[in-house]
Amino acid sequence: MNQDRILSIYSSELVTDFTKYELGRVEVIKKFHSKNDIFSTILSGIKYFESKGFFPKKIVLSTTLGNTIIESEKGARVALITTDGFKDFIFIGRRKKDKNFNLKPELNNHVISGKQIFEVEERVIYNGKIDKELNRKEVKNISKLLIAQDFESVAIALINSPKNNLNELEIAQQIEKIGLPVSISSKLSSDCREYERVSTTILNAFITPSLINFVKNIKSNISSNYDLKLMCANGGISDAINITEKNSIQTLFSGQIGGIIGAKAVAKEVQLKKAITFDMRYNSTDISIFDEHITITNQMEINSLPVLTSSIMMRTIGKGVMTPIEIEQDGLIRVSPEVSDKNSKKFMLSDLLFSMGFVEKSIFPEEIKVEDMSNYITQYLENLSKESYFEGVLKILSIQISKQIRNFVAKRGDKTSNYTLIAYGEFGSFFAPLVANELNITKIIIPKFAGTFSSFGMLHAKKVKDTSISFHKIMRPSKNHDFDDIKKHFKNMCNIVKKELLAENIGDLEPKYYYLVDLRYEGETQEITVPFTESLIDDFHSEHEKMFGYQSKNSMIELVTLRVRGIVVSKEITINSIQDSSPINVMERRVMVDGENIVVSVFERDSLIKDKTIVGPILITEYGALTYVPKKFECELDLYGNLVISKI
Amino acid sequence: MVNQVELEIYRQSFLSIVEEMSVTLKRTAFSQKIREGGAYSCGLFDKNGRMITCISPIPFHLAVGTFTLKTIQQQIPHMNSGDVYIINDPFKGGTHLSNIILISPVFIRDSKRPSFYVMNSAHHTEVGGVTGGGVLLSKSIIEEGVFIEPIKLIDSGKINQEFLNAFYSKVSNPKERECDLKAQITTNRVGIDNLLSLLEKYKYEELYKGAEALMNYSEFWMKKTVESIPDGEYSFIDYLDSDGLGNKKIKLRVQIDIKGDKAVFNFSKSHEVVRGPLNAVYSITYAAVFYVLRALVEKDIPLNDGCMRPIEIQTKKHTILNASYPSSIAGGVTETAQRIVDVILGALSKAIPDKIPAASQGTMNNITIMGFDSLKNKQFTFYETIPGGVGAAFGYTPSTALQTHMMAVLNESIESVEHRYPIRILKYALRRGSGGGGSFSGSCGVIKEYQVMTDCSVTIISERRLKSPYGLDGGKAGKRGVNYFIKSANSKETFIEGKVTLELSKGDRIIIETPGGGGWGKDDE
Repeated sequence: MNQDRILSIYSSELVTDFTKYELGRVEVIKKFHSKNDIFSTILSGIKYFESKGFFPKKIVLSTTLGNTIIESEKGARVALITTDGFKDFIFIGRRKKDKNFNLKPELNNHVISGKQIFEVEERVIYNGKIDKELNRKEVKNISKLLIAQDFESVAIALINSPKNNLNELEIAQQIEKIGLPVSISSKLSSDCREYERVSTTILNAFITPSLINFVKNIKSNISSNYDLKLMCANGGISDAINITEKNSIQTLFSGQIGGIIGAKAVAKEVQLKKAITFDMRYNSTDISIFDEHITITNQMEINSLPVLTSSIMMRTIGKGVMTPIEIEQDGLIRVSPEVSDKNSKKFMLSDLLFSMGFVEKSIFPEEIKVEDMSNYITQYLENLSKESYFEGVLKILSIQISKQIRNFVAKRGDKTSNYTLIAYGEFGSFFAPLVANELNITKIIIPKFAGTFSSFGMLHAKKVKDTSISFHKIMRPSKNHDFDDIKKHFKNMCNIVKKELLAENIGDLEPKYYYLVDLRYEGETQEITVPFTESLIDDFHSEHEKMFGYQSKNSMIELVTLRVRGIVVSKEITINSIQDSSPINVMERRVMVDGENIVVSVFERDSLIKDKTIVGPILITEYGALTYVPKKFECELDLYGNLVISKI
Repeated sequence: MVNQVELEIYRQSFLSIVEEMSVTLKRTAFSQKIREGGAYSCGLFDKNGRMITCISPIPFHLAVGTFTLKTIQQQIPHMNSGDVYIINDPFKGGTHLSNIILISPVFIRDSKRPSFYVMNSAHHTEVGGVTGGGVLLSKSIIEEGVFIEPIKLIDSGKINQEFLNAFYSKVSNPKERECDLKAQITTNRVGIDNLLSLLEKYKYEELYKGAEALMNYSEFWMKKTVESIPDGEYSFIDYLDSDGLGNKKIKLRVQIDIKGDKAVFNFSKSHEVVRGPLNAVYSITYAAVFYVLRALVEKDIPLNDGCMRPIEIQTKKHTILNASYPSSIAGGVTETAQRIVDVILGALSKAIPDKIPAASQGTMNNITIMGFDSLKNKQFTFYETIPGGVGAAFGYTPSTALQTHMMAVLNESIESVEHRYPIRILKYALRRGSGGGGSFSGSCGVIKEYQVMTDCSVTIISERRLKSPYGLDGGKAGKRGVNYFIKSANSKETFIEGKVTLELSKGDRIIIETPGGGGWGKDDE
């Protein structure tokens, strides 16, 4: 695979970032646009680089189209085919009410209505046995109705299908004859949690037609020599047509995933084992965590709807600088309130940053209207100054963000003080020190190209395919276990993964396979994924203790899922080192810091030299990002060009 | 004086402590009811035992910390750093025996008395007794499990092994109980550590004032909410169908007196205690009032002691809403708690009709199936609750069936149930047409059909089988729930009462159709 000329494109609703990589050199551009101009912006960016004589071998694209479709509920007209007797359970599901203290509970409804659901007579039971044969006549009738009622996409999700998916496959065969795209639940997930699996299948069907159109339109408007890839939730890249036709749900959150891949590459470079990533952009704040390996999860959530798919573990914790700030009638400040007070004055975090003097309006896309908060808050300044008030709001935001990060880390049974914070995105580097201070994190890394880091990170993504099967085995608490049956399944699964990777034009490259199993103690409903090795059982006990605080060596262990991940290991990209320069005090800026209105120095990142420490408070600008080094912090450039901020 | 900025900083800081406690408890507990079901609460209290903040995913846990801490402070005047106290006694602040509460005092500097308390309460799957983790027709609390009076579980860091050994000898799965107790101990430890970290950033006096300011804030907004209700006396009567052991049409009555910014909720004229397991303890009644009033506050106020300062609750001892030993109470938290909410809402609907919804299903439809699984060669107990219709309100048409009001438990997945138990779920559908009509219609209940794959006994404890969930302002009542079983031998449908235990054979089916929600407003059509 020729890694020499790559163009990676991070595309979101308001901003598209382009990173050009050629023989160790990187060039980035950032374009603002409206929600309706994403497609034309992508094409214009490609044409821009072509005009400079750059014709990439590979284009890696991340898109938020799937996310936007689900959040706006403007996807395909989906038909769901499910087991007789379960027509409504997608509406009842496993969901509890939204808020505890609400006499009129609201639910995020699924993207489908009752009239779009068809029941079919069939039943598979818990062990895969077919208890009721598929009613083929019913399937034929349903097919006719699908055409008559103008459905655009079909989701097929039957009870217990991961145990035996013959009925699902047969229905799919019938539906494919009428030319509609089909999403099959057992192909998307092997987890025996029907509500989550059906939800995933419906969402996949919902976004597939639009994503296929989107990708086909791009392909038809660019050179056929360009290998167009999409960034996937599992951390890999895949042929754009391939992934949108087979598993479009993998494109969700792909932009954020690119950033995490990049952060892992930075961690590897600086030999850092444990890191929390903090990605704050115009309209989203996302976090992730990794130690020696990136953590893969099998469940995500979008719009409060569950999605079962292999994904790098991350969480969206806020709305970037569009985070709402409400000032109530008594002056009380609420940041991202659970319940919005209709009488409160509403601002956004962007307004706060502007009001404090840190940024100009011009750094925001047109869609973000920036307002000065100063006049409004004057009425509440009886006991404190404007500077203190704004500082307080920043503190509240920092506490809220850090609280979410702390809980995310606590779920792994760990403490934030054991981690380094890697921050990026347009505003990640600004808030990172404030958040780190709340979390007792003493070291922050701001990588190169922080302002366009997601698209930069995508350069490091490899070709990855996952497959899994539902498999049940009870293991008694003894050391002797026969795994021949499991090994046979793994062999078959490897062949499936290899076939999928071969379709990605991997040439002679041999994938590296990772074998994983989901285990739990008998009686539990949550599994842990561990590598399938000789020390499988001991590893499970240890991991269980780490995750859940206890192990139970005398308990029976249930194996419930087998997973294989194939990764094509290709040549790593290398970035040329950055030249030394002299720190030039580019300008000064009057900002509100620590309750005072003071002048701070503003440095250009490119002008910083390695190993020269600068003490805060200062600002550091670079293309697309602003770093804030507060009082009691210092920063320096490491030998890899990363900005390292430490508490003094 | 605490300014607006500081108030929110304190709020977020205190909330952060109980949130991390909550994450820890969910992560480390064995019981699925805690891990996935949200059957727990975590709280932080000041030196006077006043609640500073709490997290309580299920509202009936709201009051446990307040009342059990009061009991412990009264009965154990001398505490030490490193102590942990355990209690589940429902008549001394708890809710039911499965709900075990751990309280830890927090000492700072050289103080001789605690400066704070951290608390967590958690639903253990079973605590001995005959119920085995389900909800059965018990006649006395003695049948329902192990009683834990307030006792030191850990004495200055040293574990009370004698107590634990006695406790484990009475439960059917001591390993699981040990896991859950360890999880609770760890949770309190996390709370203490985080509180001590906070004390490195702020002085104790600042935090004390901050906590008080937050309580005053909540009190202010609760008073404003009460003040917005027109002065007057509003009463309502509703009924529990039966206690399953002979008592029928069990009256619950409330009279709410609103005067200015204060409210009195008088439940004294409710039925006396009953033989069956529908008695509710005081903390449940208190929690129901707390829940409704908090829901009426149109602002995101912290959950703390201040919320209930303008409120007085009057009950009569030895009545169904203030039961005493040895009344059976297993169904009180699921069934009676919902009915308390129904009478409160019914009364308030006379004062503020546009803000109050019609009755939701008003029951949890408890089903317990016990038997021997020959494939796995062991006894099993399956227990779950089933969602139902939601009551409509002015401008509000609920869309689906839910677990409402005092309960918010996540249902177990059907495929998981079929894998773990000799049970098949044949149907899980909306019960169309069961919502009460009106300008705004109540939502449907559900139909859930189980097929047992082994001989077993089934106990159902359900309500709203005789009296429908009421509609309001001319809206129609929701349909009553219905339970029946079908014998595989003759496919005969047999209707059964709301509270029953029956023996089923392999292949028999049991169907539960849950009540619909009441409608609101006259339906012009």
